[in-house]
Amino acid sequence: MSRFDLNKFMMFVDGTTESLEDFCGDRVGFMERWTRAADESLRPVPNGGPLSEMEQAALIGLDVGALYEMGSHPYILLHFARAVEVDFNGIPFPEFDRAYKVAVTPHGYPNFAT
Amino acid sequence: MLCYRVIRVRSSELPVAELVAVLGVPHNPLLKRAMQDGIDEDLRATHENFQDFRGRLEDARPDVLIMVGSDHFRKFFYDNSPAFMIGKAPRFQGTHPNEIRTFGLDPMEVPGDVEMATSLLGTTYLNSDSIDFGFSNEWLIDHGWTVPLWFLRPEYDIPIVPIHSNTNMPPLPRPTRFAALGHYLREAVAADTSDKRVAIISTGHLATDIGGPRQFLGGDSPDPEFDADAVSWIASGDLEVAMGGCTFDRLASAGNVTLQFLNILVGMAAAGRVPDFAEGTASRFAPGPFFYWDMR
Repeated sequence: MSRFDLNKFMMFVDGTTESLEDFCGDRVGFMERWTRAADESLRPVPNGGPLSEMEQAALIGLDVGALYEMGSHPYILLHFARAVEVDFNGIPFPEFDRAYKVAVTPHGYPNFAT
Repeated sequence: MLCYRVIRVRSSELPVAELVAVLGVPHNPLLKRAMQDGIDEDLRATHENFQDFRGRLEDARPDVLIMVGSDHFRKFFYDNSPAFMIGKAPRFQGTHPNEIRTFGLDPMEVPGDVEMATSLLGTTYLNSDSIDFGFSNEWLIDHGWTVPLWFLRPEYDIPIVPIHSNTNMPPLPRPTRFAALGHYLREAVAADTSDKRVAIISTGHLATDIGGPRQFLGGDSPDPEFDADAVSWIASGDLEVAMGGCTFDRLASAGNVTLQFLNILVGMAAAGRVPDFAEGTASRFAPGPFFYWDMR
């Protein structure tokens, strides 16, 4: 498990509207391309990186609680989740915020150092 | 014991730059959208403080703004994270596409002061023997710089020298290094052989949680005790006390981005005295830091 690769994935998706729409339009396909880039290239991999099956599942399923517990940087995680749910899916922010807190609160403050 | 020194020799006959103001302000990107259709009661104090500081800054007539803040994973990420970095470009544009999309921020452009940036950096060895600066000749600044500018100088006509500090990706520079940066900026401005009037704007947080269980508490602070302590540290003018209070665990326990308070130490050290205005200002968001030192 690599917090760096988790954070890198989330920042990339949130980074531009094109990448956000790409991910939201086909999460599984996006993940396949991301992980394939890691398999086919030596580091650095600008638009890809190795992720465990658990990490891939949490990212595809937007499992905020799991991603938070894994040690994702909370600022990056919030803006990744917000981009998908509020910016792309149109969920009102207060509703998103309530669900987000429900997901992360049981985990306290995990270490997010890389 | 802090150690800082500017390795330059200047003649008393040469003009020198003057530090005219030091500010400590918030940079909450959500304020822009929240204020664009009017100022609600729970944002009035924040708006008034920014308006007051804008007027004070205009009265101080700075020729250049040295702006100390922290990039939010936009320019610097875990693949490339300098401790302290100076922007040395003739102009800076803001902000990043996701900040325009998520926060509703407007694209902007502001001139950069290459001469002042070079004066701070040096051209052979670094001028500073206390801060090992990195530098950047091209930098798309994020809300850490664009939001304070939007409030304080919306004309975007005063050249800036942005300085990034890493307060988001541990391990971080120690509090003593932030103080050393403030001391260095004061000394470097005093040694600069231009007749420019200089303002230093430091920007950070009081207790703030972003992405954690205590985010967006409807105006409540995630740690009111920290807020009171932090404002009293700055208000006292006692830098040793302020640095002593900024243990990593204390800042981190006050909220996961409270570490950006370290940037306010830069302003405090640069000013070197009790501020003329010091307040942790309540709003619908976590309280924001407002500090002003008139250096004239």
